Amino acid sequence: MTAAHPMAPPSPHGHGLLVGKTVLVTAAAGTGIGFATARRCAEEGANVMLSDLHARRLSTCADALEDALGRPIAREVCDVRSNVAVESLLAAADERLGGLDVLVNNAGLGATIDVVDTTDEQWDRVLDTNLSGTFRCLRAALPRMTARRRGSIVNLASIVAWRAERGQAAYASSKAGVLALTRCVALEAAPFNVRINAVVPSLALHPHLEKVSDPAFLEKMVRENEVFGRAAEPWEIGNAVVFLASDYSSYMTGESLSVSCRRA
Amino acid sequence: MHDPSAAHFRLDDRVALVTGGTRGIGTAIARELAAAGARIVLTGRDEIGAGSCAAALAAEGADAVGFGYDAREAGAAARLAERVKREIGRLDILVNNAAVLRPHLVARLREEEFDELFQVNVKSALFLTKALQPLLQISGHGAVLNITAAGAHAPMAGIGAYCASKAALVNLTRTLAREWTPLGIRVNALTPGSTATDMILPVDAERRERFVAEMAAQNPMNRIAEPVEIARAARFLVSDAASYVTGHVMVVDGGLLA
Repeated sequence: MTAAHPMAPPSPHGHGLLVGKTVLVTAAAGTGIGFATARRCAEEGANVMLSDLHARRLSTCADALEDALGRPIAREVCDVRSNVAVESLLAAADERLGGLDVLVNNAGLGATIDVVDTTDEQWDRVLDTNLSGTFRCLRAALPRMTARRRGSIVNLASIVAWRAERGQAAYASSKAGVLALTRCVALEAAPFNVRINAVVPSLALHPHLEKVSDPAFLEKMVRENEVFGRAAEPWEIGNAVVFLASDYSSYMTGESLSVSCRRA
Repeated sequence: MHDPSAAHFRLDDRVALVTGGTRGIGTAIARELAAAGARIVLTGRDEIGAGSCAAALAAEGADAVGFGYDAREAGAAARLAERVKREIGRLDILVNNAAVLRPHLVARLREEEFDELFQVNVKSALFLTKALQPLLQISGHGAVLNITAAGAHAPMAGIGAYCASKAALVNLTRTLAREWTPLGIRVNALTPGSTATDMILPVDAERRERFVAEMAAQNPMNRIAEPVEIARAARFLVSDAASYVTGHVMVVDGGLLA
């Protein structure tokens, strides 16, 4: 099917949806959803802190954002597989942002492999980063937010949490876990005016993904799965995160916001 | 609360039709979309009621008109669509909010009650949407939002046919998203929860107060929703901020269904 509107609308410019809020984004130093989300939050007026596993990439991205916005951008290296690293990340956010309002748990990695060929190490690496990493960051952030009686946590999941894809067992399990974690923690946090939601993207195209993927495969994924006739732009996922981070979603918690048509 | 004016959250120069716009969540949505810059056409069961509600919004600064639309009547959807075409000439956003709720145990449910529930909550909404598709398609920003209910996800004793009608609307939302998103029309649904509106509240003031207190106590956030909180979520879904969101049934319920 040919889409009548295969193009994304023009990239929006910020106007202050997150003015007065502080935002921490993990895995924010790439070409994909993390950086686009950090940028969208910053454009909406948030005081943003970028975190990533890769120090050099982190400083490049944070510098680029500083140049674009004309104000300093905090950054902190963190491996979400380490509790010590996560605790020092949250301490750094406390110190440099003056209290954390929004945590975006974006750190995650994938693997495409059939279950029978999957080693314990491969399985553990995916689960430890995507699910346990989200858990560690959540657990560290939550008491800080409940103490202030405000906060919003947004977890990045994936359509494979709902819709099976061959070779994605570990990744899908980790992301389905993130959705269950989101719902359960929502109940714990709600009495303290802290909200926890998930954003569930399908395919968001960005330079890194295009570099490491077979173009024919990406074209097939779009043709077969995406009713928009195109993949999402990373900032479109970022906009969904901005909405959930903002007071505009003040009565939403425990929700998993699908950003594609693939759950329908 | 900071009032966001982000461009992609804005609806300037867009026309939005909100059915059932004279009360509760419908009015809140009409007001919010107007605040975002949209021109509003709201409907109520009779022309006078719709007109006076639109006039009240206009007094707040909205660009709003009211049309009579009784979704219980066969052919009413086609007539409303025709009038929108004739008198307004364009449509970017359709919010199917008009609905009826009749408490009923299934064992005592009468066929006329079932027919009314499905006529208003499903059939009229579907045929109104279908009749307005050409206008929504030429918009370039077409967005349909169907207001559903918690009962669509978690059936409740005492309102079975109502829950079934809302479940049908959810299902149609998902089909329409598949059929119309390639045409440039996004289709989503919104499930409000723990919202105190006339539709669900007892008439008696004392019972009403107790009902609201119970709703708040049962909700994880320990409070009921303000209608504006539902309306803001609606605004997101019909705006360009949700440019890649379609076929989603968004639950706005303080975690009630989590």
